[in-house]
Amino acid sequence: MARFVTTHWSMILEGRHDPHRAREALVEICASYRRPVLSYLRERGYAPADAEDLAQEFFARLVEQRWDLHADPGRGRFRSFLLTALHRFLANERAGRNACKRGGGQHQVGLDDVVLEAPASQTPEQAFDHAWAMTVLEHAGDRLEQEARAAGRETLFRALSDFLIEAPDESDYAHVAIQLDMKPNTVAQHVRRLRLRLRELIREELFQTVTDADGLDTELSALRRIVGADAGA
Amino acid sequence: MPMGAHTSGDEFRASRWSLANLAGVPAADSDPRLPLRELCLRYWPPVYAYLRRSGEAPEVAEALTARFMDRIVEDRASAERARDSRSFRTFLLGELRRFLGEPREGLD
Repeated sequence: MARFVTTHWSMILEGRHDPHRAREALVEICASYRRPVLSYLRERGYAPADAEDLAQEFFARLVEQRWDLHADPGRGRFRSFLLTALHRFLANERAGRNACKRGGGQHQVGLDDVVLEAPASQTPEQAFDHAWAMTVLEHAGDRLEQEARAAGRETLFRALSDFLIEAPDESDYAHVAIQLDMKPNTVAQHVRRLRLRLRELIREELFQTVTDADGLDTELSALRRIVGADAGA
Repeated sequence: MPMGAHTSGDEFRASRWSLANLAGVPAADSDPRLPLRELCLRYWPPVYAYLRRSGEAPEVAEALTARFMDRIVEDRASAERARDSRSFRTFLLGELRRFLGEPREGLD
């Protein structure tokens, strides 16, 4: 089982005054943390190849840019430092990618955007609930996309993914039908199937977070309450 | 693991949100369940959003989120409280309030 171990502060501190030792320490740390970082990236919905690339880039920058010099053992565990560095790295990566293209294969929550765009009256508890619901939907959506990709239906999925949470109207179907060279009825059937499957995947995702059937019902109700009646749950 | 409207007790016992996870017992390699640590990694956004909405700057919220996740994974008292929680969501919010030293209110 991949784990973030917590024994690397001493190596970092020893390397502060010895660049050669620092590099050795960083390379060793990269080797130790490769699996948990990869596992974390996969959990965030990155495809295996993308996760490999990102992990490699993350560690390359960690070593080249000497992020260890900014690490403060007084502020917590080494794992916390590394997770913070990884969050920041991913936020920068996303910012760069989003500047180049909108959309694509990622379903990352632009969390600061979500928080800042929310009404000023939103309480921390409401922000928590909203981000929780987004995380549930994001993971279920990622799994749905993975299934579509495995079935060779990625193009279809991408064309229809906007219709999965919010119900589309007739003109939406007509537009996509032309784009996909399908009859509107066929598009509607695909959307219906995807929505049903998404609903199952949302239940599976919530199932991982409860201990009994009542708990699952409570969480489904909470999700509906938070995202509204069109959540597909 | 298809989920129908009726979920059996066996399926629930196979949930990731299991007592074995809460007690910190490592899962066997063949065990499909994610341990609590993985669940925390997956569900960091609600914690981060709570902290940001509470007025913390992004870097402070990030650091607090990571520290908080360390604590609930490693703190035995958290595991004890988790046994009384019906969902990971309510557990996470309750622990976060406790972590931040706020009075605990009813959840849901």
